[in-house]
Amino acid sequence: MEEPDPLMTQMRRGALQYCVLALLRPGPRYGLELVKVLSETTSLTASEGTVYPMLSRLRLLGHVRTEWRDSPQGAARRYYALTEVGAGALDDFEIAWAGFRDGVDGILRRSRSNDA
Amino acid sequence: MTPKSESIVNDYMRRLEQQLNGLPPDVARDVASQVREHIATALSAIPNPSESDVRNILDEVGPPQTIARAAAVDFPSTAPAHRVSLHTLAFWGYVLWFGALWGYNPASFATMDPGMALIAYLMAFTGAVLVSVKNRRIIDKRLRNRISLSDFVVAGTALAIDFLTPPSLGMLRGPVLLVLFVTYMYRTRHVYWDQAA
Repeated sequence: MEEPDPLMTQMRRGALQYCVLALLRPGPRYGLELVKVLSETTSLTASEGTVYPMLSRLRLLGHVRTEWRDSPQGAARRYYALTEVGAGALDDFEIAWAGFRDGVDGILRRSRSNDA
Repeated sequence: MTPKSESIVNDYMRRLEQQLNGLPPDVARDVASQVREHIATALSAIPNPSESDVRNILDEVGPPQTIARAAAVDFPSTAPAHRVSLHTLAFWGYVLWFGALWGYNPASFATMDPGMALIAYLMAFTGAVLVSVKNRRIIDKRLRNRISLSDFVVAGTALAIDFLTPPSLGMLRGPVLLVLFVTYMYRTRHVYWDQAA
């Protein structure tokens, strides 16, 4: 998929980061699991691998931490877990996002009607 | 996995690592190791994966360029890149501490060569600088506080071992300190490396 507008890419990736945090709210997940859920529930990821730079960034920010756990298959897996800092950032985003979404929706709706 | 499949994966990883070249080295390594793990986990779910299974998995992961382009959005080149990695700082900080504590022998302090004592002090000081620079680079505040505290506790324990070991057991000091530091570095490695357990 081509990304003609870099700002669009940034907005998409910005929102997607919080989707990652939200998916970790119920509990830790390993990479493949996280990526599969993300690409099933959102059309935001074209290539699964693009989630990993985002996870690196979230870990660097201290929003996510990783831990190794044994898997039934034997090999240890890296699990991603939400940190307290990450949970706080997600709460803030939820509030900001609701306002932003309503604002944008309002403008778009009015632009289609006569009272714009 | 067949040798052919293995070479397909290796070839993909080589291309990915090339594409990630523009990122800070720590980040590039981190991204590559996560993608490698993703591929390994996906493959482990298929009994006897064929070459086409491998290619399907790589198709879903996406072209290396796409991953690199996404990474460039997350890590714009204006972000400060650290020239010395966190694990290098941690490693040399602890090695210097170990060296200083080993060299500084309280039992024979009176007869200790002043030059040697000075070197031990310098090593301890440089080690402390490296360790504190390292800790300041840990972004998560809680993790940073926890690691700073355990650095302090470990240094204190090592110092106590130095002072409490009777001179007759002086030979044991080195190995005991070595075990202490190696164990500590091993137990905290995920903070700096985040590599396979």
